[in-house]
Amino acid sequence: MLEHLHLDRDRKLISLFGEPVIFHCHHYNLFLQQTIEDPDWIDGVGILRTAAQEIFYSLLYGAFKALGIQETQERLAVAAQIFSFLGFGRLAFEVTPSGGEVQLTHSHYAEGWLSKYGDQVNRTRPIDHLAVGYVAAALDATFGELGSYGAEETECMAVTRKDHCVIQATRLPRPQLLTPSPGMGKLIEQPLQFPRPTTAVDYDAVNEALWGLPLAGDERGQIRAFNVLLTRMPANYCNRIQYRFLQELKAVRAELMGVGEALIRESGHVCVFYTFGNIMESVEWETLVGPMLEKDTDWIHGGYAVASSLGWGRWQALEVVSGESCRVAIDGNYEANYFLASYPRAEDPACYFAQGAVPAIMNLVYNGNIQQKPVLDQVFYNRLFQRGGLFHGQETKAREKGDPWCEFYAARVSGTESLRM
Amino acid sequence: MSYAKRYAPDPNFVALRLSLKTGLDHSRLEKGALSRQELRILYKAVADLLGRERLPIAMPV
Repeated sequence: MLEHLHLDRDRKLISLFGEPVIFHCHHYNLFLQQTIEDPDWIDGVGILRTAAQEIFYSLLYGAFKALGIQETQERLAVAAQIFSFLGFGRLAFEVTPSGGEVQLTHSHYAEGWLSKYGDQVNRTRPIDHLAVGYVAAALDATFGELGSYGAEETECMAVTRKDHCVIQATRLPRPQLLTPSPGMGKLIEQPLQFPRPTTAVDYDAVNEALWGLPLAGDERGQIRAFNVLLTRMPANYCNRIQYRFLQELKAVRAELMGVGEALIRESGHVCVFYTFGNIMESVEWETLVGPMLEKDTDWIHGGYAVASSLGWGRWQALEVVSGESCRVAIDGNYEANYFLASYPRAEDPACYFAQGAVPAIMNLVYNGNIQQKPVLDQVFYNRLFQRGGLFHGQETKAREKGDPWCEFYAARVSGTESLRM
Repeated sequence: MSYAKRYAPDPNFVALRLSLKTGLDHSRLEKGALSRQELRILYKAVADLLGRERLPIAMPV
């Protein structure tokens, strides 16, 4: 499947069969999902499943068309292959046009959750909402049209602690009215030329090296790299679930919008902290970026150069003040691309993932002392917040509001203020 | 809240999560200024967050 990835070097975007794909780790995927599942006065599970069905239908429809696949068994085999390639685990379809059973092994969400929370929490509800939506989408794209099938997880390894999950799919009496993905969304016409920052880090060289890594699901359908479980996540799945969740929150309990936004920002923060922290402690970093690291501020530039290699758009630090602050531009951010294709202009900045991700790099370097290679575990992460002086981010320019690009400013906040929304 | 912060995952975000789960304002949760009814809702939310039916602390009556 690697050969089907399309790289837009100018915009620093990656796509698969017309759908933008981005790297995200299990820390991000789980935290974001947990936030959406938490309030039982919102149908969070419905938001997650429906978005997965809609976005993956578009991806699979595009795949079958591009590969010229007509035959049922071949379509199901390709659907299973794509699921594994993206890092979500392995699917075994036992289905007919009326539905059937699908076995899921090495589930990204279930295994990720067990490794992160399994010792602490006793899960009582299934976790594989993305896989449930994917199965429905695979059957839609194989036998019917978008919304023709429904699916349900009847056994989940995060609950049973067995080695597999089971998903049942059925053909619905009438297709549900669902909304396909907006694809690449509203792209920037031409990359902007930002002033070159003072750094020895060559962003383009870092991009090329990372784009060349053959990161794909292994025989288990998992991407185990940099000490995390990675996925090549369809960007529009993340976008759709976060924006629909916030829309729902606004409609039902508008006073809790700030809480929802803060938790989504945290999903970005925890993601970057673990994934980038582990990247910065890796041999690949030492070999590739290490020779370019002359000053502490180069570590920050190195981090944003990595960020611009993951399909997230063109990240560029405009200014880094050692230990104090940074200003980062993102030209063609994946969140803004989706937002502008799906909604009218935003009233407030809405790139929540980036709002959390930008300060996380500063926290890694200036609060986590990543240069000393600390053990990046839960205890370390929790302590970071208790120390105070955390960096927080603000989106000071927002393309989704009409600015030509998105810009973020991260600076320290004092003491317990760091926990405020 | 102390119990939740001690035993639930992501202790720095547990108040925000509980606010979302219960629909109660997070600063009121932190201050502990809750009615008996709200305390019961919070107790249930903490138990749910840990995947337990009951917590080893007294349920508010």
